[in-house]
Amino acid sequence: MPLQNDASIGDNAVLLRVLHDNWIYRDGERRRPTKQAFMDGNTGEVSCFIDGPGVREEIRRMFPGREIAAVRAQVVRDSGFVIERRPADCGNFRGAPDSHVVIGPPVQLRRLECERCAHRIAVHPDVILVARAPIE
Amino acid sequence: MSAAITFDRWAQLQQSLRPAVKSTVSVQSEPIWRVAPELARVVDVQAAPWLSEALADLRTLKDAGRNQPGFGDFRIADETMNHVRQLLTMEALRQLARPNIIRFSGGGVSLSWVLEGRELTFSVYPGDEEVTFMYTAGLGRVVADGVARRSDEVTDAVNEFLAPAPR
Repeated sequence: MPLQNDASIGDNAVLLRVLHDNWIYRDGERRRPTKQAFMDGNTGEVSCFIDGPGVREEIRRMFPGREIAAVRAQVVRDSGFVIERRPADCGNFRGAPDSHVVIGPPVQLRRLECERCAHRIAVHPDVILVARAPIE
Repeated sequence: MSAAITFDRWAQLQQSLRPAVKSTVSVQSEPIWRVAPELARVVDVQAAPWLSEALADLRTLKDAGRNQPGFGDFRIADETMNHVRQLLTMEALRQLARPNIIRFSGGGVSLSWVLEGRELTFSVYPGDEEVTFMYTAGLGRVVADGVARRSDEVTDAVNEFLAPAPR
C-alpha cells in the first residue's frame, strides 16, 4: 500500500536511521551512510525515528554499538520519498511510539527509482552520522 | 531389451552434460539467472581468488539475518542467495577485487567495489529476475545506472567502471 506523507512532521524534523557497520562510506574527508541504509527489498519502507528527547538514548539501548545517521525530513522528501508514522511497528522502543516512522515511495516505483531516491538521501551534504555511543 | 541405461551410455551422457573446463562459450545471450543454478559452470577459482571468501561472507550474512523491528528485516531468502552466488561467479566480475557484500532491509544484497573514489554496486532484490547497477564518482555523482537482465549487461557495467575515470 502506498505511503501517505504525514504533513504534521515538519521539514526541519530530524530522522534517525540505525546503521550497519558497512553502511558507512568514506567519501574523501566525509563519512556518510550508503544508499543501502535507505533501501528495502520487500516493501520499500525503511524504519526511522524522529529525533526528540530521549530518542537517541532509546535507539542506543535497542541497538547498542550501532552508528546512527541523522537526516532532515526535507532531505527525505526532496529525494522523492515520503514519511509516514508507523507507531505499531517499532518493536520494543520505549519512547513515544509516534516517533517511529517509515520512509519510502508514495506510489509504486521500480527498484531502480527507489534506489535513486535512497542514493540522493545518502549523498546529501546535510546528512550526518551521530557519534557512536560507547558499548558498556 | 532392458530399458535400463547401460553404464557406457550413462558415462556418455555425463560427458555430454559436463561443461568444458575454461569454456569460451559466449555468455552474450544468457539471461542473468540460470534456471538451474546447481548446473552452473564450474568457475575457475584461480581467476577470482576472492570467490571462496566472498561466498563465506555471504553465508555469514545469511546466518546472521533476522527481523529487527525499528531497523529492518535482514533475512535473506534461499533464492536471493542463489542469485547472489550466480552474480559472484560471473566471468565479468573476475576482473574485479573482492566485493564488499552489503545486505539491506527486505532481504536484498548489494555487491560493491570502490576504486579511486568511484563505486560500482550491483543490487539483488528478492524475487526479481534482474539486478540494478549504479556507478558513481566523487561525492556520489551518478555516472551510470540501470537494470541488468542479461549477463552481457553486467559485463557492460563492469567494463564502464573499469574504463578510465570520467572527467
